[in-house]
Amino acid sequence: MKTQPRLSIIVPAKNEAENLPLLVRQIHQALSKPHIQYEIVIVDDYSTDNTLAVARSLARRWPVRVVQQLGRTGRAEAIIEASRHLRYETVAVLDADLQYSPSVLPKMMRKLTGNTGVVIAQRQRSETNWFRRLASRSYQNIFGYLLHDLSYDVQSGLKVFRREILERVTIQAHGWSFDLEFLRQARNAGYDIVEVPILHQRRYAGKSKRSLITATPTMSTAAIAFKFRRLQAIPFHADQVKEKGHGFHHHGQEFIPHSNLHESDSAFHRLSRPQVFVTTVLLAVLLVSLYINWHVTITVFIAIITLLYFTDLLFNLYLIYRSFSKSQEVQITSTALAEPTTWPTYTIFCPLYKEWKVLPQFVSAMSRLDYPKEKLQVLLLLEEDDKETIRKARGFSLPSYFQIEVIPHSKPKTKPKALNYGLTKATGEFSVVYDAEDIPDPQQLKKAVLAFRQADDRTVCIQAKLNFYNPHQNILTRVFTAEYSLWFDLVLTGLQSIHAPIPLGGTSNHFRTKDLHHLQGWDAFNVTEDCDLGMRLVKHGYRTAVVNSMTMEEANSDMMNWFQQRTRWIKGYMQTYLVHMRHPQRFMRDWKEPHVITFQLVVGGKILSMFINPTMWIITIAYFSLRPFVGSFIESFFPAPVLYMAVFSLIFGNFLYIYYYMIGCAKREYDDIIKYVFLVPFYWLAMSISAWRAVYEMFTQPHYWAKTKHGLHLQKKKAVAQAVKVTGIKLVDQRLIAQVKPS
Amino acid sequence: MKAKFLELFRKHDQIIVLIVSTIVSVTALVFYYTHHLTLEYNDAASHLNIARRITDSLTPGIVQIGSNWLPLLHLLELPLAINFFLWQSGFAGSTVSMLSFIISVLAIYKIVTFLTKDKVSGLIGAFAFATNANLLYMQTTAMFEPLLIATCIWSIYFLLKWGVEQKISQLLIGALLVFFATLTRYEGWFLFIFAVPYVFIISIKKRNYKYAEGRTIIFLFLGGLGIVLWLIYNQTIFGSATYFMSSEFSARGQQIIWEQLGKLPAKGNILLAIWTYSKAVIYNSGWIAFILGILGLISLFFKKIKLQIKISLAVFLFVPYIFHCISLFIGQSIIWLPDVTPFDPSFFNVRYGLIMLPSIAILIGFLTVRSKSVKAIVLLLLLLQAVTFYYNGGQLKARNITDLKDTMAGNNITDTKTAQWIGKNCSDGLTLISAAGFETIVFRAGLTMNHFITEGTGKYWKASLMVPTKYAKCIVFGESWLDKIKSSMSNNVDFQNNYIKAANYGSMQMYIKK
Repeated sequence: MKTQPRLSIIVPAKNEAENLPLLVRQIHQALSKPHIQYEIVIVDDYSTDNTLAVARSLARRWPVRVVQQLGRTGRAEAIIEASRHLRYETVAVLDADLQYSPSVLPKMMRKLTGNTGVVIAQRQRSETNWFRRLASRSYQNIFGYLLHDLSYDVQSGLKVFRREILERVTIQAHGWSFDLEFLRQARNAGYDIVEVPILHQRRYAGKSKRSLITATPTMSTAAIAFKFRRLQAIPFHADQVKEKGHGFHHHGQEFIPHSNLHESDSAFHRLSRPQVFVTTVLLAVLLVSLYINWHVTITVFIAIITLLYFTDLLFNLYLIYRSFSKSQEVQITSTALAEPTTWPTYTIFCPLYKEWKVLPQFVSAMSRLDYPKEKLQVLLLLEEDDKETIRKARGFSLPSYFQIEVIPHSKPKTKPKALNYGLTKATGEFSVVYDAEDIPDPQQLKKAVLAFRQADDRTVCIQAKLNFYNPHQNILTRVFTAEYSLWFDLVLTGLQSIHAPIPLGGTSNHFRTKDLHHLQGWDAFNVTEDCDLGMRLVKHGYRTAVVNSMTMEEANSDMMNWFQQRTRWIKGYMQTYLVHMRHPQRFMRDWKEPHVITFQLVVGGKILSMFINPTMWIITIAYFSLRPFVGSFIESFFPAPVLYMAVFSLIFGNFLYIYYYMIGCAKREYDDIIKYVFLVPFYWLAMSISAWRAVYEMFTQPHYWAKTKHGLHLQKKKAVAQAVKVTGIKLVDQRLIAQVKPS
Repeated sequence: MKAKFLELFRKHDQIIVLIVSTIVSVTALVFYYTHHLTLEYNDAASHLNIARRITDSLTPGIVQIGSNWLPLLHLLELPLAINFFLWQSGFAGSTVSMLSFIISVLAIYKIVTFLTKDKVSGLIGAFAFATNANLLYMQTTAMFEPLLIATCIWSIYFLLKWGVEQKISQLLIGALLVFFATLTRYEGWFLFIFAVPYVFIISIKKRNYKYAEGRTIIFLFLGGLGIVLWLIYNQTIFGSATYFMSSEFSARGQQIIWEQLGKLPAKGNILLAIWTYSKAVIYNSGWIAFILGILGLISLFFKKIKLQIKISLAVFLFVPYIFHCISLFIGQSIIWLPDVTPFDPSFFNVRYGLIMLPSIAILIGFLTVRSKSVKAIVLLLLLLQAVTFYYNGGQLKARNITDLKDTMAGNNITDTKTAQWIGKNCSDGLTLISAAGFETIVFRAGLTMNHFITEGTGKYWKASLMVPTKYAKCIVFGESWLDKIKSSMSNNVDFQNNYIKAANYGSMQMYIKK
């Protein structure tokens, strides 16, 4: 059944007693014939004539409601006031001076289809004086078009639009500036704007309230101020959320992250306004200092980075010591596993993108999980545009607890977006993320559940340890394995021992599903959503614990693939650092746990070391190899305390960092890989190159997710054989998965 | 009462050992300090000066460590040597030595107890060590031996523990301690050389080649780091990685002079080298302890410990012995004993024998395992040993201690008088003097180091040898082969025209600017 169109008309009125009666009649004439249900909301803006009385008398006869302006006077204020009293889903703002014929309203309403959110009555052949026309045109061209790229009749006194725009956006305009800000925000909110021509008539009665002399400067100033005001992301309307999921518009583009994480807590923006300000100030100070005394400036700069380098060295040494001093993992014994208990429901998220080939291995791995299958929900999260994977996945006879969820195409196209989508479908009391190539310990889900029961209320995440099943595939996988061993067996356990924020691994993070909802899921714009979530949960006062369970995954065996992956990781760390430095005070919930400091060292220090270390090496090599030429020059930048700190950091820092890799391998009993650790300096060099690439991408494509290719090991028989040896199981067990149906 | 004490000991044995050894250490310090004996060694003054010069010099910096000696002792003394009193009193060095002594006592206790599960035997081993008069004296001085003993013996403890328990943390700590030992003295390098195959062999026996390879690399990388850093330091600062061996100030440089004088009798004579060092050991440990140690070595092989551990322990305990015998044989080291080197009636470097004391103490501990009567006898004999060191002609005298006699060789009144003269006359200017030749004088002058122009002061030294009036108020030189000042001043017009002889004591001459 076709619903009757309904229109709320806002009429701001200041001393318009003579115009109102005719206006109301014309509106009625225009709308009654096409059976458009309407209401007129007249806002009396502190009129000094009998506008209010006239309006009230009109209200007795016509569908008119009268609102008295509260607060400041002004057209913008009047419209905003009126918007609180509207009943219908379509709104018109119409000046009371009868310069715009209401007869065009039905036509304008008809234009409000599809994505069109605003219809403007474009003034044609204006009957006003030339001066006003000139002023209006100038404003439109300079401030509307040039400054804001709005090629519309911005100041038109008749606009028809969807009420949801006012519900979604916040208009911070005053006086005569409503229209520009409104159109700017409407476009920001993703709506199209169209125009309908109208004859701009003379004013029927009374005088214009807009004095060009007073209005022009304020409107111009406001237009410039709007330009400097950052456009906020505009969340979806409730109806849109129901239809598409949580999302927002920004600069007219639609983003559906499937999470209502606020933009200030998201990597959607690279830098917040205060961060831009601080960065600009710092850069300015640096430039001025260089100009005043470049030598002292560079010396101070070197002293600062040396101090940071030294602090990072000491911190990592402390972490390694802590990782040895006490076993920090949550230990779940086989006895505990054997005790009878009720197991809760569990959701497993597995985002896949163009990696259907690994699916049989994944299905085998999930089938091996020692967990009641009736309590499992495995969500395969597939992207709508990945038609091949969808087709192949549907072609498999997947176990009954598998569920294929196709994520409608939207921006951003990232793994965390897919996870957020999956979260909306999750039914399990607990949740975990696995990548498609993962082979988790079959006891892992049970261990996680028991670990949660053992842990305190503040522990909302249980992280399993990660390692690789193809460590010996080539030199790259060997060194990568050494790195992972260090990270999961030494660094994470050290961080856990001091209750520091833990950057989660990209997989095998276990949560109570309700806590995930409380944390608002993952940041869809952060390319290391795991690291970000690890920090965010600390800000909420929560903790992560590491459990004695391993997930085996595929080490990157291809250099270019590794490079892309590493660039993404470093970029993600940069994003995470910048996001969480917007509100660093939130790390200080408890003064006894100064997470803001450990955050600087864990995330900031990791990024910084990739730039500082090669710089120090370059300086050292230059000093020794070109000593006669540059020796004294370099020495002049290193006063004695800085020199000793720098030399100590360089020698012992690099030694220790290499040694940590060895210790990590030894702890994991990868003794044959230890000798490859001597190649780590080249690995670091590659990481430093990735870091620079990450900086570049931060500027050019911050949310770009370079998909890491998985399943490369499946192309090499030797690698598969090694993986079988390492895991002790067949990667793909045909007994566990049914044959693929012909697709 | 006895039961309570035993219970207390059972729970807090290590703390008790530490407390008792601290009391013993401090008592020894009080005794020797009040008898003005803690600074008798010239080398002690040198070590303290080196530590002091890093911060107090005309050209302060890490380069003041020089290349004569490995740096760890000086670096540990540094924070204390910054204080004038602690430097001049020698406490900066005594503190390091005493701490080394205390933890060494604990290490010996722990080694014996770990391997034999007999705490009383552990205590006896610790007792044998802690009551040695030579060691008690040495641990009050700023000398290398206590620190070297501490680093070596703790390395051995952790390496042995790792050999049994195979915990990675034990291997890492062992490697770290070997690293410290290699930066203390060259015996540490020898320990490292022996420890590497030990780690490899134990690993391969426990598991397989890959495991052995990995563990050996881990040990090698940290354990050998000290050696690498020392070579890099020498290369960077002095232009040659082996400058420490080849410089005129090195031990080798000195040995060449001794050899020319026919005073290196053990060079090329392995039997004499063995005999010399063995006598040095006996002089330090005493005959009783030495014999008990031999018996302990024999008994070791009858103990219920895995053969590979027994062999490893025996090898480790004899590393210093092998090192010194080889050093004497190749002429890299010099030890004079009155009954072995008759050309010189004094003791010289006899303290090198002290390094075998921990080995002897541990073996004594093994000797007493599982036998109360043996324990009692050994204890009595050790007490007797302790007394003999102090007993001389019906009187208890510290001067019977061999390592004290060692100091007499280098101690002379000339140095003291020269130092006093400098302190009195040159405190308002700079004094040009060779630290290499007369470190003790520099130390005893009682002035801060930035009053002295020495070999390590770079441009000041070079300029002063050519134009002494540029910086030096006083010039002091003597008859040391290391002293370049005398030869530089002999035809120096600036010196002849502007300085007058103010004093001389023995071969030392003091000049002052007119």
